[in-house]
Amino acid sequence: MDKQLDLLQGTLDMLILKAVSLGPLHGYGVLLRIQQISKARLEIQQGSLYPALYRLEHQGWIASEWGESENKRKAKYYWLTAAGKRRLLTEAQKWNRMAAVIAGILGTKAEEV
Amino acid sequence: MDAELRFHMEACAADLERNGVPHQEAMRRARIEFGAIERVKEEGREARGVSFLETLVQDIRYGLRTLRRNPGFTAVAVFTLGLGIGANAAIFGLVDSALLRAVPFREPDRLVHVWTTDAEGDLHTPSPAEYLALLKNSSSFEEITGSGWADYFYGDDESSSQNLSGLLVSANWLPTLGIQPILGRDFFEQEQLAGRDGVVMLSYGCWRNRFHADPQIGGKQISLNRRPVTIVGVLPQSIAPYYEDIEIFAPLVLDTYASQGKPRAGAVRVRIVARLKPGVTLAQARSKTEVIAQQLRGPRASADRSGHLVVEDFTEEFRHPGPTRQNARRGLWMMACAAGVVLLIACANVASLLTARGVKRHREVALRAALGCSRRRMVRQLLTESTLLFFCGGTFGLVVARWSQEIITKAAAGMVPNGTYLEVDARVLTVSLAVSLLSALFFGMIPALHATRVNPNDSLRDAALNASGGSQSRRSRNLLVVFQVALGMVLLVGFGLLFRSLLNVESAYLGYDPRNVLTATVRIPPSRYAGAPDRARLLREVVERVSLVPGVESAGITDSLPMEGADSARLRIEAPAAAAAPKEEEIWFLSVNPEYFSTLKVTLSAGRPFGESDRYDTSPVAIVNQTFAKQYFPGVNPIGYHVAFADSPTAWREIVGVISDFRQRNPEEDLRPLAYFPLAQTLPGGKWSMAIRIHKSSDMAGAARNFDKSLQSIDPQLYWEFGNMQAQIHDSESLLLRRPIITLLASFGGMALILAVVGVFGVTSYSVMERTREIGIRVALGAARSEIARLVLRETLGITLAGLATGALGAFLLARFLPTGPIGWSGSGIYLYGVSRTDALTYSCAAVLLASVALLACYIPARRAMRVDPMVALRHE
Repeated sequence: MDKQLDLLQGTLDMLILKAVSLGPLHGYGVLLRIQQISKARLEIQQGSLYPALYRLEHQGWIASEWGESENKRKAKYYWLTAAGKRRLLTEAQKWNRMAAVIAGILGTKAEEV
Repeated sequence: MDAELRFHMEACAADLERNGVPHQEAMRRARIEFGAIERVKEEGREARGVSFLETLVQDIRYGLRTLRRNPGFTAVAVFTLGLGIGANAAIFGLVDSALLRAVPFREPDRLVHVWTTDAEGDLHTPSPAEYLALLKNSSSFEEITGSGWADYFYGDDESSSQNLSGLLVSANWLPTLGIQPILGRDFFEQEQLAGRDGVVMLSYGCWRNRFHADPQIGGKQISLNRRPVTIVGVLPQSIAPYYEDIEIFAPLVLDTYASQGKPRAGAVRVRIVARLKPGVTLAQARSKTEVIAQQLRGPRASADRSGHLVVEDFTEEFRHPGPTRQNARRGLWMMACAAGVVLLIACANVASLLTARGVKRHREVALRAALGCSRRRMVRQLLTESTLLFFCGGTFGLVVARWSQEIITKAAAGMVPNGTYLEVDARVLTVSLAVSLLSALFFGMIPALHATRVNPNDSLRDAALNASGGSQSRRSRNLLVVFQVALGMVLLVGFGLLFRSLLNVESAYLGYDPRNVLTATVRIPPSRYAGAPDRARLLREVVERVSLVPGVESAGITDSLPMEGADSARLRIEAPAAAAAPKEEEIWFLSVNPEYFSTLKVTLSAGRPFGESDRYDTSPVAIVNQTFAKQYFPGVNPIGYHVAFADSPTAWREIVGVISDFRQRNPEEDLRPLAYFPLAQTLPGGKWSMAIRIHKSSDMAGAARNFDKSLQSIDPQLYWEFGNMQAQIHDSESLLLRRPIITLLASFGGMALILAVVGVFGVTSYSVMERTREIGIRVALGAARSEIARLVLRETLGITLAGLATGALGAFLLARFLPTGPIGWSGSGIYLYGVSRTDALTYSCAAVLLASVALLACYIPARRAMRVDPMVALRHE
């Protein structure tokens, strides 16, 4: 399983929410955090990260503020809002149910039908 | 966003560099890894949501372009809205000036009036003695001011005698009210001494009208009562509504007030306005003032209820306005309704035009919808467009209001308190723009919703569909026209009812014959003809001179001509029943010479007229009118009974005659009891008026010139003002009150008619245009031209009739709010007179007028429909 996987459609938002739920991050930090958690098994289009961030901010799930990065540079930090927390919870539940159903279907053998 | 992306890239490059990649290469790789930056930015902007402002600017730009591309439509809409919004701006300006603006005085809560009471406990203006006692002993007031009334003759050359009302005020009057002169200075303390009081301040109106708003007026000398005085200041316009007729403000000099001032109710009075000390309540002031009143009354206390000093809230007067302000409120309220109706018609008009245009833009809308434009977005864009239109209309309306403010102020004068003026200021501006915005949102929503109800698939595929235009939009357009016609009907009926009332008042039965009667009025200065014998001699001379002028039939003299009202006093009236005590009533009384009644052609119904034998040294007599006789001597012949003034001098006057009723104040008033005394016995000072009947064959203007000469020669220092009895009626209070609202309502009615024409014309034209194909087919199939015309006319007529029916119902319901009675005691005011709320003539005239205007409006579209060439119409698609 060393080969990188393409991100499934619609899961980027959920991953970003999860990443910033662990603590405020700047855009590049979000990218690094996801790669780190996934042990570099997920390929994220850097170009699609920022539109997603802006979309989430527009919807009020994350908030942002300019701050100072670890190497003393100005960077914009994102963190999860209360609405974002709820959103992440429902998204995660939905995903888990979905995964379970799909796994169940895929695991079906001929004699079980 | 740029900064953020740059940070990302640099952070990425820095990571690579840490792994040993050279700087340049690291940056390059970071960029490659990131992908197309501009696209990311673009997507980012979209994700963030385009700013509200940006879309707005875009929409406005697009809207302006569309409006410019349809100059005809834009002009009509802006003109229509301008009329509607302009009318409202103007009326709001008047309402604001007359009723809404805050009391201009400083801390009005602490200002009070102090009144005195009479034997019945009614409030009156206090006497100078009470004023002085209050000044000396009171501890509750920070300041106590006194004011009195005076009449002035202005001018020193004989051609320009003018009579001005004046207010005499103490030096602390202005500071106490918290008012500053807008020009010059206030009075000094020492100017309240006799001999040093030759200074005046002018009211704003006086300064503007008589001195052309001369900014250098301070220090100018004028002649008042043949005495030179210096103008020291001009008062602001804000107090004008509270001191309506006052033009001259002069220092109050108590020593000479008795001889210079104008006595009220027979005695010299000082009106007291005071300012409470901070923290003193009205109740505390009342009890302390009452103590002073007790000392002043002395031992005769508790005999009756007179001589109490009553402290009243100053602003109370404004909360319970007098007849003039009540009438203004009544009139302005009607005007505001009418203006609102005009605005609604204008809005409905523009909404129907917009709806019709929406049909034309069908394809545009369908295309946008097909390209993925949401309905909300399109509605927003159309709303922006109509708001733009309404704002243009609002601006135009303000320009119209600004331009016509003099005309409207003049037209409304007489109905509203003096000093009420229309000024397009920030308040008017704000309200107009708010009205524009609200009506734009409401009336713009209808066409916007209609225009965007589109199925792009149908519309784009079938181009022919736009010809039959959606029956829904036509229905809503027709409804809007019905609405307009109905509102027009309401307005016209309201106008018609009030107009008929005016005509009825003008032709009301007066009880006397005003034709061929000249009037001449003189004011006798208080300084001259002071003794009764002097005035008796003057009276004799005047009558002699006038009867010598050729063409004169007879000359009557009185202190108050018909339509001027009269003085009133408490009269003691002998009771017809032997044992009963005499009644006391406030009664209007006049002093007249023996020829007065015959000059007016009023007949005596019993007894004898006054004669030469009724002189000031013979026993006093009186004549009463029929209403008086009916009210106080029911079923009894009043002749031989007596009346007397309740206050001194009380001398019983024998009633020698009963005269037929005639109107003394207003043509439409209820008749009231009147008492007449011989002029030779009362010899009043102040104003005398003559009614001079001229032979029918004589020239009135020539006779007037002769009088001028012969009267002038009696005493060159007396100024006579000439007029005639019919002008007197024309200028009577009730006609003065009624005429402005008729003028303004007539102009609003005119606007409503114009707008109805525009509305019907627009809708019929669009309808014909839409049906060009249908008409073409009909003609091709052999329909006669007249049938086509009938087709168009039938539709218009249907709409109009529906509108008229709705309007008649609306007018019927709304007419219930029209007042049918005068305001208070004045006997005048704006109300329905001699016409019922359901007057059939008014309703039918309004209906016929509107129907003919509507038919006229569809003449051109109908002709266009008749001329449709089937070949062209069918090939058109």
